[in-house]
Amino acid sequence: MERGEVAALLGPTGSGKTTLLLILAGLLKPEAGEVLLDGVPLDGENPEHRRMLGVVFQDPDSQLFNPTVYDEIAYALRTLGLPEDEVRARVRGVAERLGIGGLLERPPYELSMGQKRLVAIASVLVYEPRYLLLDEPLTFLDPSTALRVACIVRSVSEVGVGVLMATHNVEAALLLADRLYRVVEGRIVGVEAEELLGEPRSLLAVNPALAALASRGEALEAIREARGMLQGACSR
Amino acid sequence: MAETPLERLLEEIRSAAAELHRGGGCPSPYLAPIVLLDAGLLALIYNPLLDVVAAASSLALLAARGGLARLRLIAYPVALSAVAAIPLIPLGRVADAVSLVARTVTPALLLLAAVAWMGWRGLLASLSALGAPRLIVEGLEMLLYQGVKTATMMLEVIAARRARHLGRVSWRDWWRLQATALGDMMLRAVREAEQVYMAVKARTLGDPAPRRGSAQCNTRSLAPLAAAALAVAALGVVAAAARG
Repeated sequence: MERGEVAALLGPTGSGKTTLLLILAGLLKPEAGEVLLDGVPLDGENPEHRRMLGVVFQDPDSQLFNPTVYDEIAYALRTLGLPEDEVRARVRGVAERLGIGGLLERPPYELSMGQKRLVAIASVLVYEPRYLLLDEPLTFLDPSTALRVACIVRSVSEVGVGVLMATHNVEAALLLADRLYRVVEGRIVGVEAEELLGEPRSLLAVNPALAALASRGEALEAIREARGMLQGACSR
Repeated sequence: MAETPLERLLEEIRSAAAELHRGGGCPSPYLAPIVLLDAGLLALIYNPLLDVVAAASSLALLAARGGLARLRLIAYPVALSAVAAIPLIPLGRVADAVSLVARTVTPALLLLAAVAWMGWRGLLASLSALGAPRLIVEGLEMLLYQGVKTATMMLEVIAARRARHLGRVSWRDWWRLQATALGDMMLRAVREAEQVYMAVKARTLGDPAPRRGSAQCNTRSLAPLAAAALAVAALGVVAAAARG
């Protein structure tokens, strides 16, 4: 994937999307093959490589381990040995940007799932990785929080961060991704939006309205319009 | 709503851990190290002073915000040490049995009082300021946090099992529910540990920097600390001598 690009990895439950994401993050070793990070073989033990990657787990509860939201977001910066003043400024900046500035002194276990997701994202964005790996980023979220996360995905890609999101949410993939991939029988294959829209049965389970538009050949246009609306909603 | 003794215990642990986790700030840079050293000295060496320390700690604990609720936690070390001391009684070693309970309960009271006033994080910040290894300080910090999460997870696991048990729950069923829940929890604990390990690894971007706690405790000078430790030691010697 390219920097500044949003790619979506689609696949049914149990197809290996999460495992692949963890391999790409350097947290699991593949049985075969290798991951190239900007042309260099990825070494998960190399802090320089880890700094280039930011991974947000499917379950944010598993990702949070610090006493307060502030400590959670500050953790990575502190391991870089940054002065506390700079840490404070960056933490507050990211927290305000994600709308969680009021939660900094709370322990993460008191937060709602959506708030935990935002804290997990903030804890990764704060050290400005080159690539962001998101596992089911919109799951368990209410519509307004899901919109906020979608806007974050678009905004970080606009500043050159490459985003790969693993999801089984076809709508989110169509709305956000520049490139689509699918896990088919253990292999990753590229797929065009038209191909996904040509599967009315799967779309019907997700969004009957989109399935109806697809059957009339109007879905692509509707998606383009929706992307424009998303851009507008994010800029407000 | 907790229905079984195990669930009540888990809820107690969860609220105790959450309460400790909230904590307060550190009112004095020297208080925490003094309290910690005193607890260690008195509990291990000066047996005759234990009742004085226990009484003073109880008063301090009751005076702190939420102290009465925390005082209930002392029931656990009392119960555990009493069970451990039971074999001494038939042997006629009642004084030893009482001493065992006192040595267990007194430092617990002292620690509870210290945490009630300083907060758990204040205590850990002091440990960090004293130069305790980062692994230990952060491990202790994570202990409470994971304690809350684990207790919550266990309560959910048990409640899920009870929700699907549609008949009357006999005592045999109760044991079966708890046993399978504990087995499930062990597996979940392993998975959770793996996830936490990956989460920590993913965001450890350099040589771990010294911990910067949010409490303002530090050791600006060792003199007050040394003076306090000597004073306590002297007091202990005097008390021991006075009691013969």
